[in-house]
Amino acid sequence: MNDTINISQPISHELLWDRFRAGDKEAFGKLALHYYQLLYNYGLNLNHDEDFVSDCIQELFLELWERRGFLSKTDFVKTYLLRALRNKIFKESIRLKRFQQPREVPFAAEADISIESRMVLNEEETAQMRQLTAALGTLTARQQEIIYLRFYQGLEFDEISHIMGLTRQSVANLLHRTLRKIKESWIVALMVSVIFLFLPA
Amino acid sequence: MYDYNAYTSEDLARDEYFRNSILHPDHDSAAFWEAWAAASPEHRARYEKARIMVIGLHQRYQTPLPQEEVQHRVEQMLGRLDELEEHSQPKKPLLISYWWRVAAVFVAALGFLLWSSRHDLQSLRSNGSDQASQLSISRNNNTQHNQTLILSDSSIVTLFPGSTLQFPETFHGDSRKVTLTGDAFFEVTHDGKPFLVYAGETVTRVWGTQFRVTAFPQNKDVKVSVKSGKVSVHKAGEFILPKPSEKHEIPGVMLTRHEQVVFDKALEALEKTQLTDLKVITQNTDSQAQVFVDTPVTQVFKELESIYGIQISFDERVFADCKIITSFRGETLIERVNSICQAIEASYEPAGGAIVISGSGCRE
Repeated sequence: MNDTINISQPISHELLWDRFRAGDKEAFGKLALHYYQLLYNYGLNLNHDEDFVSDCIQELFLELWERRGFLSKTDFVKTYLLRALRNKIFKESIRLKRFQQPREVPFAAEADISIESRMVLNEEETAQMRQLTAALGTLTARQQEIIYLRFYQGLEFDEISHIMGLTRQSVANLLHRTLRKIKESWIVALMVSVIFLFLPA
Repeated sequence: MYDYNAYTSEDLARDEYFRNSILHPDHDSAAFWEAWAAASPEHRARYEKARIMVIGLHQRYQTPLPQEEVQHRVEQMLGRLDELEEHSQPKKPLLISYWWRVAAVFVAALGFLLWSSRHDLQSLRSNGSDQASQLSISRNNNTQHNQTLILSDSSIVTLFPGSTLQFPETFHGDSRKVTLTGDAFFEVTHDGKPFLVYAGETVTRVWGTQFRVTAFPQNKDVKVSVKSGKVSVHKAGEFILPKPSEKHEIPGVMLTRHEQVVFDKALEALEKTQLTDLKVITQNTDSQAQVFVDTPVTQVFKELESIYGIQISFDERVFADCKIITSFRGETLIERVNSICQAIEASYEPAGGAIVISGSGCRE
């Protein structure tokens, strides 16, 4: 043992993952604590039932603990967990609905969007926000999910491909089409407003 | 250092530093981005667009949950973990199944049944007095390979060569009953109702777990080996399914992980032992790796059929254009099928021991 190890130094999640696999409950707790918000957020955007999502997350972690001996090393704990939760939510919604379409759950479609914000927006920006929100509202569940994963979670193509089970090319295509769709209804308004900014007073 | 000059508005909207500066501005970062935006009208336009995007997505997708609540939930979970390990009680299902099935699904299942009538399908009377007589299916594995069956509750049965399983097309009543002659490995789903395996004068009762039952008529004993969870094994003559409200114990032997019971048919005695040969309960199929890169999904289904020995029924023309990229190792059959179906926006359902896939295909 090396006594000079600085215990306050943050440990990488991949290392925590290894410790958890070896049966370290404290490491497991730390992982759960760190990823809970992220999983909760993703889950709630996949399915709006808060209790259902919370149950799924709890089951997911309990199952991970039970299966810890069979889990492999991973360099992408975050992607692994997001994918696992996504599978879990689809699996459980299918089970609840007795084998109906797994895609029935609309991505964030019921989200109650409030324009009020702590971020200060002027009138013009508020109008744009409305337009963006409206544009997002016209997206399909898959399109919304990809925007969410790419821009809200900041994931790379490979990670999204892994989570959604699509080829990298399909992810790129889907994202491209989705962004074009958003732009069509939104960017026009934005461009106009930006031009106004630079008009001589 | 980042070359922010080359950043598009979309790059900015994904940038951690930019996002933080917009959502939780501090003096330094706000000054940095203000200066960046002031560099040129082009920068200003990208900045404005990215800013609206960050705020808009934040408003749409945020799900506030106080950190104390997270702490509380994680602690609760860890507590539950200790509890489970101490008692290793059968897990209570968190989610209760609905019995609703859409009419279309039902019709599809019936259609499949008719289609699969080339298999040894026979109508049997239900052996439960409290159950209406219903269509029962009997599958006999007379091949040299393992076969996989999926039951209507999504439980998976691996049927070893020379074995027969009888199961209802759909489980009804207050228990899930199947009858085994021979050797099979069960992965039972949690469902709230006990799952009962009748095999050679024994009854094995479980809620949701993985175990193997070996009961060939020519053998002098019946073996039940547990991989995970908890099961109880009873002599068929002594077994009565208790009403959910009743608590009384029926005579039998409780087994947990890595334990085995041997029922001696001549002595009519149940003897519990520690399972020393773990190969008995190793499911080699799930550990079999599969890697698909831009593989037609029709081929993926065929590979699944061959490694699991299960029938997967789908319309080749509909799914001709679907390609997927994925890899499996350690996933169960259902996890694999589920993840494929998600990727191609299809659905699946168990029907008469097989899986039926339906969807509208891929047009990309």
